Amino acid sequence: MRNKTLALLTGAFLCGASLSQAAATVTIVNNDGPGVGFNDPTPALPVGGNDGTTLGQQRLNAFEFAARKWGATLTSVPTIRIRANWQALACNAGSAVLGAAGATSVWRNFAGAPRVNTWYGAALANALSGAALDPGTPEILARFNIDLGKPGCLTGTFFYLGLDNNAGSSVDLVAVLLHELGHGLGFQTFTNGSNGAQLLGFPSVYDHFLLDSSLNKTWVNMTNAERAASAIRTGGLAWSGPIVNDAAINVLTPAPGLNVTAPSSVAGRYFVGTASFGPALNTTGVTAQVMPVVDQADGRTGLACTTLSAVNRVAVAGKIALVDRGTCTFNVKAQNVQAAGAVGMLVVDNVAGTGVPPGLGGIDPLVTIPSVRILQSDGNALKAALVTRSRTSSPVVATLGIDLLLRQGMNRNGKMLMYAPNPFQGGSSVSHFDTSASRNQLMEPSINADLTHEVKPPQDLTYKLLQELGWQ
Amino acid sequence: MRKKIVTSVVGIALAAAPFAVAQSKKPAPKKPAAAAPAGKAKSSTSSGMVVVKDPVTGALRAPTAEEYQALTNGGTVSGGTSRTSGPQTAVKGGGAVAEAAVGTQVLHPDGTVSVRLDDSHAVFAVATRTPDGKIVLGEVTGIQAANAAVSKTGKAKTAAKGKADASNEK
Ligand SMILES: [Zn+2]
Repeated sequence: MRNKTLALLTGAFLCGASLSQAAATVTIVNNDGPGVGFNDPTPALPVGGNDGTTLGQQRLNAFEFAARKWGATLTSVPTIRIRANWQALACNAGSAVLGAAGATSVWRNFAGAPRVNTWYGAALANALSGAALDPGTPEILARFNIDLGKPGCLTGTFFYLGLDNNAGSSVDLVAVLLHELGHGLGFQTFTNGSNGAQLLGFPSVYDHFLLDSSLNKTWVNMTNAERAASAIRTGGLAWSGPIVNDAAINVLTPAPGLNVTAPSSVAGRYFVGTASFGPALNTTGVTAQVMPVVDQADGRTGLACTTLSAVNRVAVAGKIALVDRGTCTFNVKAQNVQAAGAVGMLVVDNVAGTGVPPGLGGIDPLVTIPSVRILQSDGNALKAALVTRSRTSSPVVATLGIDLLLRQGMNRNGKMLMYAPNPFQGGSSVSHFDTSASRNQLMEPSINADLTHEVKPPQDLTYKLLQELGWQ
Repeated sequence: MRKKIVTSVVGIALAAAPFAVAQSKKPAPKKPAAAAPAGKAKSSTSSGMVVVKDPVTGALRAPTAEEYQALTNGGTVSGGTSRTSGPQTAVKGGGAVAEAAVGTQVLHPDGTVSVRLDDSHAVFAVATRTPDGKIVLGEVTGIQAANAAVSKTGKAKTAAKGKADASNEK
């Protein structure tokens, strides 16, 4: 609160205009020796808006560009200092450590801390308290690989030092920096996700917003074992905070879905995995009763790998056919139910899964009906509701299409999904948005080629998550 | 100017580590945090040394029994049991936070607690060239994991964007 007031006053004095302008000074503290890293005198040609005339100056320009981007986004009275240098980091011909960034210290129970007994990274702790808690130490440490691209160090693949997001096959230094600085600014838990142990027994502020939808608990209210299980619950770990989730509705793309409208026992929105054959789903969708194919001895499984029987043909004609995965390829199933008059196909997975189901691969120009995969658990729920069907009529009614109320990267309750692969991936798990996000997000665990350099809506949610933690 | 400040901070930080080890009290069967190599610092932080910034002198010293209690049982949020049970270590000096060893909790006079972090919590970006020539970026926590990710080229775990398992299999 206090720092916000000060920042607003500063803005007023400086420009007398926009009082809502964000204001933080983010400085790069050059920690390289003479002739090295940022001070490398090797002549360089201008590239992508970076007009430094030496390699060192171009490196510094790229760092300062990323720093200015964050400075223009965040508000902090204390300067945010990034101690940065270039050094040899592990690499070989085919892979390389690009670099790292992180908070130099964490703080709890400082004046102005919104939550007690909770760790905050140094930069955010300073911003919240309105003054540098440790004036002698930069808040973030960044190191980058000085050898990248040289023989034996991801040979031939260099950092792109341009500022125009046009890296081509090179590694976009600005994008990597924006991402790593995002972690350094607070987009990270300090809790150990593989065993659930909190740092010295206290949660990180990030943990207050990690919601496990199976346990319906946040990470601060879990045991170590529950946290460790939550960290690998793919599709089940979400962000609880309204700042991110309200913004995500407008940033992320509507998702393909199955909207079941009857009966009430199974009504709701289900994620589907789309097919690479057949027509694309659209926002109008296909609305019909859902009817199962049953062609196996157990009386409840339908593989639809051969021409449908007369009974099955009567059942699925004009309906969305429900079939089971297995034995034959997906497009063969689609051909068979299509030949029987079905208007769509749901393939129930034959292995357990969570979150958004995988798609259906294959190419088949003969298929003209939409086909999708649904989770095994969702399929079982639908089958339970289908036991009351007649030969020609089903109680289950659904629309298959692009669901304007679902988002790619959010769960069906409108919560942003966090990355929770199984097995656990230290460094990637938990401290990123899930890879199902579309449009692609800066803080996904893999930096995607189509990213902009934006950190806030309408393109990106990184700033929103930082706001949730307490940043202005 | 900036450069100067930073250099001096680094100097203090480096000097502080061996000093803290030397000051460790007798009953310290566990490795003192400051002595742990970077990659082991996770275990060192959970073994949890604590020091207090003296309200009068500003110097770092071992906590009193009351201070220790306040520091380690400070209302841990439910589910989190405090693991701060390691040796208490006195560190003399001017009082800069950077002076405390990595992983040591420093209790400040106003009740603020700080912990200096090291490479074990830093996020390292790792790039790997796939067989088809693409560069895939992933991340790991800590320098040891980063080194390990590079040493097994091509096997580095990286997050795949998009839908897995979309083949036209049965
Ligand atoms: Zn990351």
